[in-house]
Amino acid sequence: MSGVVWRIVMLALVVFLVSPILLLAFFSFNDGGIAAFPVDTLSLRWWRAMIEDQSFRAALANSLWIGVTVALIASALGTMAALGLAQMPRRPAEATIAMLSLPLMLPPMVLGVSLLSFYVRLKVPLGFATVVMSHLLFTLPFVIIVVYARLRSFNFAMVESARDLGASPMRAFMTITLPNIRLAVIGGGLLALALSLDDFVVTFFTIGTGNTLPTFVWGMIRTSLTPLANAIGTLIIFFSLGMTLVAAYLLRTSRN
Amino acid sequence: MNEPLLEARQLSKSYGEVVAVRPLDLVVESGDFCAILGPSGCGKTTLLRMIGGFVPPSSGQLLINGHDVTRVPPERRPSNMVFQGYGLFPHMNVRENIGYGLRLARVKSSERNRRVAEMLDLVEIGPLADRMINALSGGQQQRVALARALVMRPQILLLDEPLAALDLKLRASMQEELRRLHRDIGGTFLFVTHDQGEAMALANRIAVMRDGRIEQQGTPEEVYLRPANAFVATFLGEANQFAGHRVAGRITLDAGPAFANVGKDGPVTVIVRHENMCLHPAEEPGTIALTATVTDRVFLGTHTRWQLRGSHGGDIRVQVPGIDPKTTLTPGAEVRVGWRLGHEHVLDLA
Amino acid sequence: MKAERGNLLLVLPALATFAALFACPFLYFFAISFFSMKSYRMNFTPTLANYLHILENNAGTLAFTLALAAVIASLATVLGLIYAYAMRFRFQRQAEALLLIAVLTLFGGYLMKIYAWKTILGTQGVLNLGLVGLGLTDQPLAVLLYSPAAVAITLVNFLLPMAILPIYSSLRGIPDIEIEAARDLGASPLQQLRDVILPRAAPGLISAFALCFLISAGDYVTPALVGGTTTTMGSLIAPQFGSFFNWPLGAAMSFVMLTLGVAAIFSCTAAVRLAGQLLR
Repeated sequence: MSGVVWRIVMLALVVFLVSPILLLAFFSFNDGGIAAFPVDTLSLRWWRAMIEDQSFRAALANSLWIGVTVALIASALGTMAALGLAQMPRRPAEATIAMLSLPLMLPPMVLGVSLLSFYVRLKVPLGFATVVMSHLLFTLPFVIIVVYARLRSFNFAMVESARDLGASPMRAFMTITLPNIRLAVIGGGLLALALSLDDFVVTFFTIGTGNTLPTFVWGMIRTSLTPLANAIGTLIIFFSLGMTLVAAYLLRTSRN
Repeated sequence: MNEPLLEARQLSKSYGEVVAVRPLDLVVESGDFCAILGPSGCGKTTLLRMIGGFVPPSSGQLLINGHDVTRVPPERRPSNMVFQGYGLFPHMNVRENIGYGLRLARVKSSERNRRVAEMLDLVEIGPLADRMINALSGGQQQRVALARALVMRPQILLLDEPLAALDLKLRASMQEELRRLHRDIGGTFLFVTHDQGEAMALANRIAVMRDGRIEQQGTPEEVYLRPANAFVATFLGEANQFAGHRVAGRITLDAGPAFANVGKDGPVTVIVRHENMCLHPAEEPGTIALTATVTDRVFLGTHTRWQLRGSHGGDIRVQVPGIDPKTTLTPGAEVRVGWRLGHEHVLDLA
Repeated sequence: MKAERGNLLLVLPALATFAALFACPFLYFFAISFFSMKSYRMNFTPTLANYLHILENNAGTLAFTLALAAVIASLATVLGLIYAYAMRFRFQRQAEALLLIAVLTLFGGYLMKIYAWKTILGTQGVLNLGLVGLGLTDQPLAVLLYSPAAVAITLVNFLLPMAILPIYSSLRGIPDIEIEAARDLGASPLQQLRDVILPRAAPGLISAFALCFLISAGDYVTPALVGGTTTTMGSLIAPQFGSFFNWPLGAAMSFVMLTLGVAAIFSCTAAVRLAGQLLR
């Protein structure tokens, strides 16, 4: 295939990938009442409406609390696991990671409903705790994969010399290992945050009453179709995108 | 038989501002085992890849058997390459790897099987024919890569640092293998290497490259005994360099001694190989001798290397076979060193 | 050895989370597929009634779901291969930017993308406006929205980044010298693709296909928002945990869908492998 054909094909694919997000954002600035053409005037009307909406603010607060909690726990547990796995022989380590990544391969709905039935059986009240636990299921593998990749190229001889000079394992970790893998850990945490913020299906089934931003939007788009949903959706997407971009930058820097 | 097998005419390659290969000429005759020798970054791999068709030249022409192949892509060139790293297909076994090119050329399966079997025998890996590539050692993979290229009966076989990935012992036996293959097939081989010993062991013609230029082309004897400049002299083997001046057919070294040598008046460098130097030379007309102070001595098994400082301030190295039991010199001792006239090689600097 | 015990201890919390939040719930979920609901309470007598019910009533929906998932997964895999191939072999200098675009769109939302497609595919949407404006149709195409086609387009869009990443990863594992060796032995670009690239990309292609298949089969949001009357297994399962309140049936449906889905993936990949060998 000639160069020109390839360029057209790739351009088409990139447009295909990116246009829904861009259009979503574009229509959030539509002053009119529907998220479709024709667009006469652009304004921040729906953005202002969003900020003033009480239920939006509650959902946003929930999303942030859950997201940050998930990110912190996933970073801690994931880094620990990655540390252990990186010092094990390759084959068993990678098999374990593959097993831990199983939740990512299944349809989210199946994850959601199986967790729901489990929580109900154990009489665990649905709410903040159950959502955090459920999110851990699909954020933990991501953190492990990212930090493990970084640790595979980490020279453990540094840690051994620190131990030789008298440092305890904890001290060696805090002063030698962690500063060197810090960027990967933060990157993994940000990815966990993005995933948690954006999750809809698993949250829907395990939150009970109460809302995160995605479940809030779901309620909205079932009933009305104003660009208010666009505004919230754009907020969610660009927040996730922002986190991902920062994470990608950190991970690339940590590799050098 | 007058036409060379491969001829590169003013072939060059530049990447923007950076010149990888300056316009050069190279001739390879049918039946040659030719080496392109040079340090990393001298452009030898770029040159080989141009000959193989993987890098389009910036200027110049390439002819194989009189045909201009400068713009011909690798899949249609009458050359085949053994890559550094081999490039074997891990999802095919040995037999399938070797037979791949023949299959592409639509050779009938009976003919194909025959030629593959012939090749398996030639490189002596018959028992491994049905193994997958990942189950082979480095040396075995090397043979498969050779077989895969040779089965195509190329007019010229190109090899990129063929022995670089092998450990020392394997390298020696593979050198013998390659020489035997070349003799048995009677083909033309061209390889690049940075290893001077490998070039001398395998090739009947060596082209020494530096900074994109061929400094000297010739037989191993010519290049070693009559290097064209100081770079070639020190890249192949080790040599002492003595500065001096020639006036009216007589060279006087800065270090002192003088001897007759015909040529232009002007500054010269006299090259004497370490192994041609000796300690306690006989002080007679056919010998050059000077005084030096011992700085170090290293025993290397097959020979002993003496490091000395000459009275002119320069370093001198002398290589002596085994250990000389008569010599019990210690660092700091003064001793006479020298060589027999005729063992030096004079380079005019002007 | 002390070091090994230490390593295991480090991995333990993650493994415990996995066991507690995935393995156990999953096993329990499998268990309840054999129970039944009586007046909003679970009856713990094992029975195959749920599975029989699915066999009798939902075979059609099952078949449709698997077929649709196969189409979507195939489309996403093929497009993913094209994108990854271009990144690896045609646009090496822009590869990093292209990869970033894929990664960003991967993390850039699920629900909102589906909602975005709802607006794009409608009769007033961008796509129809474009088609009418360019003169390709007289009337806006109503079939673009609220149809299986809409579900397919939306899901392919969502899944494409998920297909690109594993395929690109396996393409990156092909050293350049293998391609050059194939060229040196006489292979044209198509032959290089068939003999060197595709066999080496097989693991990535299979992962991509499997992932896209399972997620499509189990999706209920997309059919709900853009599918109109299109019913997939996902659309049947979700209400079992909502208004219908028949959890055992929902569990049974989930497992039937998963099992058949995995079986379908195996048969598809085996079929493709067979076809590949026949073509050699």
